[in-house]
Amino acid sequence: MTEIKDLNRFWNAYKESRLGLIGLAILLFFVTLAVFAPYIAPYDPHEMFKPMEHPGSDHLLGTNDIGQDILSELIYGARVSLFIAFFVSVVSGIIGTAFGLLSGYFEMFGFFLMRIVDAFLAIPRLPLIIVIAAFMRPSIWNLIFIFIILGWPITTRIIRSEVLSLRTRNYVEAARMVGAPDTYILMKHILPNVFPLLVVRLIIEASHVIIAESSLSFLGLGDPTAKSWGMILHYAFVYPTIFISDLWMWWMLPAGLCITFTILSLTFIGYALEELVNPRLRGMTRI
Amino acid sequence: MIEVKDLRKYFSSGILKKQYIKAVDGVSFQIERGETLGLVGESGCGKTTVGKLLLRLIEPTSGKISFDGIDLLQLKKKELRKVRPRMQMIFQDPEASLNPGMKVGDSIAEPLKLQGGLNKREIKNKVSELIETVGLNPEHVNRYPYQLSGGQNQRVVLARVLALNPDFIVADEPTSSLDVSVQAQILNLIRDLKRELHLTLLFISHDLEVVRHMSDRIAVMYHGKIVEIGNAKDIFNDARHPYTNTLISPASIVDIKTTSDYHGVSGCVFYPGCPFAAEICSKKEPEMVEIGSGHWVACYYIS
Ligand SMILES: Nc1ncnc2c1ncn2[C@@H]1O[C@H](COP(=O)(O)OP(=O)(O)OP(=O)(O)O)[C@@H](O)[C@H]1O
Ligand SMILES: [Mg+2]
Repeated sequence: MTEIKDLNRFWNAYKESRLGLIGLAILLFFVTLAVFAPYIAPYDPHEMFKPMEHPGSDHLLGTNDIGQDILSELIYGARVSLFIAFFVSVVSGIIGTAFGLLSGYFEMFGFFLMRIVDAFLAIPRLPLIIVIAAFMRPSIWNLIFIFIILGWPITTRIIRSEVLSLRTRNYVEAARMVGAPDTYILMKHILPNVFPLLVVRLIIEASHVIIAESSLSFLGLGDPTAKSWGMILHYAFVYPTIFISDLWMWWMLPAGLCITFTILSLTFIGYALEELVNPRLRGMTRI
Repeated sequence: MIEVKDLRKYFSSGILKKQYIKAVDGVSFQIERGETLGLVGESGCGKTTVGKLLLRLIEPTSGKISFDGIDLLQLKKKELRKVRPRMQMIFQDPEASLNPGMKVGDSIAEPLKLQGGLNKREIKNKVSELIETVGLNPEHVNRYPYQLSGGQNQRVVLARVLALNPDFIVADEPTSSLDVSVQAQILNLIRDLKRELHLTLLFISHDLEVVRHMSDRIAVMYHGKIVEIGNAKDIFNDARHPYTNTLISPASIVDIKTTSDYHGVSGCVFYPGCPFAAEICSKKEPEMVEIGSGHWVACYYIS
């Protein structure tokens, strides 16, 4: 559906948003860290040196209680946190979109599916995550599973309400008038037009997942073998003298900042995109 | 060609206390093959709803529609899809009638592709042919709707609608969202095409002048009902219903009071606003009476 020209048009509009550009720059920074971690990080994050070193020329952010280089942990941490966020938002996005399309287009199916979605949405998210995570063996894949289970109903509802409005658009009616079957209309006329909204949703979902994963890890319910930012916080937090010395400044603060900035960047991008997608928020008019 | 009998469409709103909007409330008319019937009435009186009901884009609450001898409301989904290409609709807002993510050439080709039976080359030729018929340039095919003007987009819509050689077209205020300067062009194009291709047309508008320009016969609609129907000439020279008169010369009659509670009225729909209202008008709904050949009016005042 899109071509180079459209992308150009889109990019020109996106560029107008300063927040959007800042967000994109920050996100790119973390994505680069994640992708090229082995080249950027000074050490293997599991390698052990002298424990509790203060920041110095060997270890820019010092070492932790078992002697691992904190800077390297942070850089590899970007991998874990971003991978989980990316994977969850894509998979729950696909499930949510499929159900959203069907339930928006077929009334009966939609009616029943929405009751299920309502049931899912009635459960408070974070407490449930904590309860489930506490009972399941903590592993990355279990976390991913929980997040997907909790993410798809929201996407479904958002996509459904968009489909409900799209399906009475004149061009959808016009397609029906020329004898187009339902599947054709869904794939060709409705899906491409929910796509922008979906992208916004995926980005917001990704930031939710990062918050949730960090919170769980911080509480000790994360995967102890995966060094996410939340896990770094957790180990630092349980260290006895963390707050009565300066330790927190290089052990906790950087991880906290990484989480904060990643979420900020996603939020900024989300804002910028939403402004483009939602005509009511859009100052710019199309020619 | 088209025969509509006592068509009704009530939209329900409200969850706890059901309320009904009688968008179309007992409408009957016929359209002969090759004829243009104009449908006029103020905004919200149910014109679009009538158009969509005729093509079964929405399901009626009750009534009967026959299209070329086929009882439309009895058709199953599959059978309906077969008949559909013979009836088309042109909507008010041309840009909304075209998928914003599709090049207009693809939009015109879409019905041909869905219909099947043509190869790529034939489709391309047919598209060029249609483009020419509606007065667009060949280079327009690679544009997107947002890159074209309203008038150009409405031409694209026309080309698309004509692609399957329909018999019957509902044109729902096809020019009311366009600049005045292009309105006449599009109207004349539709009229010429109709003549050339022997189309049957239901032409909807709130503008009586436009309808007069386009139609052989005219139906005047008020709050979900047809109050007067007849030849275009008769409607203009010999309008009988007070509402028709307010449309023809708005200055001649005192302002019609606009009331929102007309749904509760048991008598004539126009009673609350009618300058000639008598007692009976509020009690019993007037029936359609034929006062000249093919000229029907629903009003006590005339008889
Ligand atoms: N899908 C719907 N749900 C509920 N009410 C509707 C719906 N469609 C139309 N209506 C109502 O039915 C009435 C008739 O609407 P319709 O669009 O047919 O009027 P119209 O004569 O075409 O008006 P306009 O000149 O503004 O296009 C209006 O009161 C409208 O609010
Ligand atoms: Mg209308």
